[in-house]
Amino acid sequence: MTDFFRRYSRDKVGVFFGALLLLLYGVALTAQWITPADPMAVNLREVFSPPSATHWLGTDQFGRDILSRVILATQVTVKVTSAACLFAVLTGVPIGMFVGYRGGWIESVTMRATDMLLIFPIIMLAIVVVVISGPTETGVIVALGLAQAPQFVRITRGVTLSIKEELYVEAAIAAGSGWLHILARHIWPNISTPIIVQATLTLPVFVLNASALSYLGLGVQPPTPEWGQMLNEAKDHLINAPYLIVGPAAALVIFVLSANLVGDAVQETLNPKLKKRK
Amino acid sequence: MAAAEPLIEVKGLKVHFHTEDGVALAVDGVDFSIAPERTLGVVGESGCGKSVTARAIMGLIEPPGRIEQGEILLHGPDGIVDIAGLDPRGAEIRDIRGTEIAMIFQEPMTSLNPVFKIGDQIVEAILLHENLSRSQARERAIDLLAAVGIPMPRQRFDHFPHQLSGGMRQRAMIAMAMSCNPRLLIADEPTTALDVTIQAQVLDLMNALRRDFNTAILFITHDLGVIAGMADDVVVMYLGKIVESAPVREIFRHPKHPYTQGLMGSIPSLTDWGARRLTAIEGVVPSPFAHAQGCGFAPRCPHAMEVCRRRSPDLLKVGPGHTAACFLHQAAP
Repeated sequence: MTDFFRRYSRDKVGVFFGALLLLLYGVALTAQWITPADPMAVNLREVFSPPSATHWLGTDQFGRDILSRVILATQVTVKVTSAACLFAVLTGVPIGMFVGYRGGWIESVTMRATDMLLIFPIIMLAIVVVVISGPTETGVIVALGLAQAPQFVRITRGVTLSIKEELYVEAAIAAGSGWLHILARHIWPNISTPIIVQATLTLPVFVLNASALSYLGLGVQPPTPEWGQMLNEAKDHLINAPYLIVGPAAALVIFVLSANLVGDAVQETLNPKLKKRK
Repeated sequence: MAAAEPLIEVKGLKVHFHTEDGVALAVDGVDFSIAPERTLGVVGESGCGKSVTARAIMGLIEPPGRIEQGEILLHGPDGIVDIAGLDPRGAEIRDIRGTEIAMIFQEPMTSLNPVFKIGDQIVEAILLHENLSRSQARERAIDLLAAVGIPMPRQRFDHFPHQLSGGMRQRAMIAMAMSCNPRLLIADEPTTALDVTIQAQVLDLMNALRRDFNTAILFITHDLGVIAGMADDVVVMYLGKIVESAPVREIFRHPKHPYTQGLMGSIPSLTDWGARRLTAIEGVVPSPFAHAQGCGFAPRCPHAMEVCRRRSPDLLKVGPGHTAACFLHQAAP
């Protein structure tokens, strides 16, 4: 673990964007206390006020402070995407490990099912789930998680297939280990790295999809702010109040960019086969 | 030979692999038995079914392979179990693996999990089958490491596999295999991947352990020199069949089957060096997919007769405890 951080710290880009990502998570965790104004407070005397000393990013059509709303939206996004990512990992990885190790018809059926799910664009799947479950926070989490879970099933199955051919797995069977023991003690420790990398690399996809859903009105419902939904409102006032778009757009870009670059850096750190480009 | 009750009996074992290219008769009717505390050596070229036989005994045959026929009878204190009839994923075979029968493999480099300390791997093997506390299991593991001749076992306990040499790893594997006092140890070419000096040490170790633990050994190798030093009885396999079976002295003095004679002829001798060239057996092992009529060795046999290409010879007695499957030693039918 310390070795991981030592090697990671050599990657300057990774360190910078890692710090940025941590900052965003810090903002998300402390959102309640650091918002300069109440993000929900309507003030009809201050609608569409441009950025100023009191409202750094201006106010929207209800006079709500944009900066405060962006901060609260960060919390919502981080919560939803982290939970969805966890959901995808916790469903996809065990299924992938089980079918990969077990093989046979269970594997064929599962893999064809994931193939079918992978045919649909992720956002389509998510829309279907949200339509069924309703546009609640939990609904969005389940939708995004389920939409990404097939990816994790596939990747996990792939690495499980290669590890289960290792002689030490056969040696463990020959020593009398049961399948659960083999999955937990022999397969998982040897496949965790690519899965951690995959989870980090998919995080920005979750963020984009969460924003896309809420842009379409299928995400977290107003008045709770979310970046996509704020962007959707901002586009209606693009001519008279163009500054509305700056806050949520910048937050989204920074989050996705940081998460992507951190994912790359983690992959380079954990995967000895990737040659250092520098 | 085995006068008392055998420990394990393999009867008419057939393991076939159903692949897209056809059916491979990897093991095609094999009978042998091992008495308690004896060592049976199985010799043969690559692809003759040695390892598949071993895996069948462990219940490790995976699809597309399948035990088509035969019995693998394990004689235990509670009666006889037919391993061939057990569910390879079931609980019964799991209780046999590790406790009754243990196995060590050819590649010590890859048969230990790279992410765990070797001590912890041995502890796991112990805890799988015995109700011990972790610290008791740890003490047992350290004792085992000492018993297999690993110096400073307490320190080595916390080493990862990559920190050990090949010979040390094979010793650790042996320690793991012996952890629950198995009655039969299957050694699948345990010394093939090791240097000759290390080979000798590991073989000495196995011989010593056999005495200390009263374990029977099924020793698979293609190295006749190793067989001479290890085995009590020898079985020679060719193309999924046993072609000759005899006590070790008998087979080295009077090899009957032309294949065994060929194998003997390809060993360099220390005493008559220069006096003769090594002879090689002509040709290669036929594909197990080609189910030709007659004796499998006939195409390569210097003594092949007309009958050899028509019929497959049975394993018949040719001496005391000595059987061979060859028409040369049988009255013409």
